Amino acid sequence: MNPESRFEVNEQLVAAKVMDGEAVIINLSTGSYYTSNQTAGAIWPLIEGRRAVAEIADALAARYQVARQRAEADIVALMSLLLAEEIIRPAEAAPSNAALGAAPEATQTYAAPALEVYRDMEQLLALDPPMPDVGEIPWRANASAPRLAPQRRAGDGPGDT
Amino acid sequence: MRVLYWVQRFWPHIGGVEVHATRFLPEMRRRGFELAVLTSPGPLELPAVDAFEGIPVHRVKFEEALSSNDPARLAGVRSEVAALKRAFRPDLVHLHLTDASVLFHLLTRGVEPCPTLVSLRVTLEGELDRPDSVVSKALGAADWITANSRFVLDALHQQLPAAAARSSVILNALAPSGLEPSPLEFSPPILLAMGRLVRDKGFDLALRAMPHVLSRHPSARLFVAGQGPARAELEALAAELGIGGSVRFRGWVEPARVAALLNEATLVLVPSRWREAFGLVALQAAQQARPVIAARVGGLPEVVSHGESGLLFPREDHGALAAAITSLLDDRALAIRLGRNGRRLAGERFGWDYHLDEYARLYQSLGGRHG
Repeated sequence: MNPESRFEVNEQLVAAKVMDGEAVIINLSTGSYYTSNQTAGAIWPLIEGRRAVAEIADALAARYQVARQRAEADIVALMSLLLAEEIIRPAEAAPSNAALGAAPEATQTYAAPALEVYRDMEQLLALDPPMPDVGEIPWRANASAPRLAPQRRAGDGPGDT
Repeated sequence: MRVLYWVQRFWPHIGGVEVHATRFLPEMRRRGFELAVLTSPGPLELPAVDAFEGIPVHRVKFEEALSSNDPARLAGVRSEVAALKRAFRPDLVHLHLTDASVLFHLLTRGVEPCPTLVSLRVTLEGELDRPDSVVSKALGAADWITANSRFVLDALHQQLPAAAARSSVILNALAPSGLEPSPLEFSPPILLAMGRLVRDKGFDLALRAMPHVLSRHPSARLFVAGQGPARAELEALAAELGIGGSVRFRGWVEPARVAALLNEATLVLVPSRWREAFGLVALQAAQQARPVIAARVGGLPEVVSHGESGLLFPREDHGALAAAITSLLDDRALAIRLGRNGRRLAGERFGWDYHLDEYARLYQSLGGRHG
């Protein structure tokens, strides 16, 4: 990877959204989830815009209190992770005009762009162990339903532990 | 102190955790804690904001968002949770690691930061110290972890030694049924196996033990209470063993009838293959002064004290189960004594007030520091 390298989001495999300044990314092929910090959230539009590593580093250095060299090293590290996770791939199309959103202040305290990875979301969706008694009996869900603590059912066992 | 109680499902859903929560939370409220429940509506149409015995209940569509594979929806739910935390300003988040919604706690930890208490009710599978696992991160983020049995805690310590310094057992508890135990009846002896009819429960082992039991106690009857997918298979096995006349499938039993059914039993069998994290049926049986014969698996040895409140037998060993049954039918005084001991121990070790006190102490210790 060099300062002129450009990448694009692997759109067939990846869904992403920035909200409240942080990116939520899902690799649909692996089921892995990623969440970013504010710095990575801020540059995600530039990544989507196929901007070169050097351009992203310039934008970071302009916005945050960070040396240009450190910013570039951090971008390279982030891009390497995104590549390894197949979230991005080398760009084949020309860059867009994506730019870093206007900073609320001239400079902001810098934290290196980072991603948290969650690879076991799909397993966790089925975390309930092989409980023999996962069956549920919903109480009547209306406003007049009694609000007494429900009793457990006789047939239930290990899941009630 | 404000405690955000985070649970996969809550009233009006039913299940072990839900039933516990509907009893636990009002009691903790009476002890002065300000509580709010954060949960999911599940497949039901339920209001997003509700109240249970004066406790606010917030239902967020975690499951829908997580199964949508739509980052916009995930981000939306994260914002929703963040807004709830800002509004409630919890001193403590108490969560149950039973579903993927824990992700949203991790994503909003910076919002109104406060200690996290994680309660485990089952053993967890796999490696627990992976840097890329939401389960690991949740355990790593926990200021304290409770397990509902020593078995569950020991398993956690084996998988995650670092958790040893910030974890403890708070045993499950069960309020007394309110029905006085009846004397054990031996004419005829009634053996009761109760639970969902699935292979993990090992009810087939109880059936396989019956021919030997009947050879010594021909009038003995096995009641199988519960419903489930293995029923036909179990009925066929009873026929194949030629014991159909001595086995009665009682089907699903009304919860309010459980104590009365236990009162009909001479012995209660818990022959599980599955490593029960706790074994609530064994505790219910003990409350009704029924001696329990249980497999030595999971947390069952913590509920059934071998030789004191019942007998334990090796997993899958129907011969040993048969021997245990006949030993108690042969020695009625022993059976009666084990039942009485079981009832006493149920009150001592699994008392509801003690359980609440333990949690209240932990809440104060964790959330009090924050406040």
